[in-house]
Amino acid sequence: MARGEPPPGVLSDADIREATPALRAYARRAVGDAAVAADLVQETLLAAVASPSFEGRSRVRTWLIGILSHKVVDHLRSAGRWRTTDVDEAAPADLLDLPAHPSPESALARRQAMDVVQRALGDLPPRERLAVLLIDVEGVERTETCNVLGVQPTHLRILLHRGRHRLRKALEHAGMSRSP
Amino acid sequence: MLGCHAVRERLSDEADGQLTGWRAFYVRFHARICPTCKAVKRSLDETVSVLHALRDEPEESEAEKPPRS
Repeated sequence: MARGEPPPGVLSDADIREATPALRAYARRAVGDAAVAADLVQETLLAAVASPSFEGRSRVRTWLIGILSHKVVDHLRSAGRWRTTDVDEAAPADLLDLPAHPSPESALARRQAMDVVQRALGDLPPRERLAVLLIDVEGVERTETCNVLGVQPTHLRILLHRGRHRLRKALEHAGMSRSP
Repeated sequence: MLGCHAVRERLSDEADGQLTGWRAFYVRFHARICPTCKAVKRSLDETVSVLHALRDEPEESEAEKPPRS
């Protein structure tokens, strides 16, 4: 181990610097408020630095996202935005509608599609939003996602299905999804 | 046999490799031959692809920025 490097399993300043933009982006997308997101990221980093539980077996970003996710849920719960009935609501009737318009393949179209999806993420019910952010954006395992959201695997499946289809509809309405 | 509605409800699981056995085979096969379900699957795959791309986009996008006063 080179001089000045932390021992294995201990967060370095470089780890934190590298992970911070991604943590901020995740928190911003999850809670919809940049100032709140910044506070939650700050709390996460403080907790992470003080924690003995990072053993270097998972990627730093994934581990930090896990800590941050619990803080996001706590925040949403205290703000009265973490309803327990999300999963029990019947699926909206338009979730299985047909795709609409063709879309050109281009870097600009891709950028526009990302903007549409980011905007639409903010409109998802909180559990669906976090399910999509954790699994599709951050690549977190389903087991860990169930733990964060406090749901069973079958419920997570439903949340993911609904969240993805709402986003799919948003892309289609914006004319950014290919037809057959 | 699964109808179109049931297949579309399972396309998300199929995309994640969560289906197994005959169910996995049937959903994949149906989504290949049914024009409507094929279109839904393609649209879903595109959506998930865009979500994957967001992972490497930590910067605040135009969609996230507050409106200028």
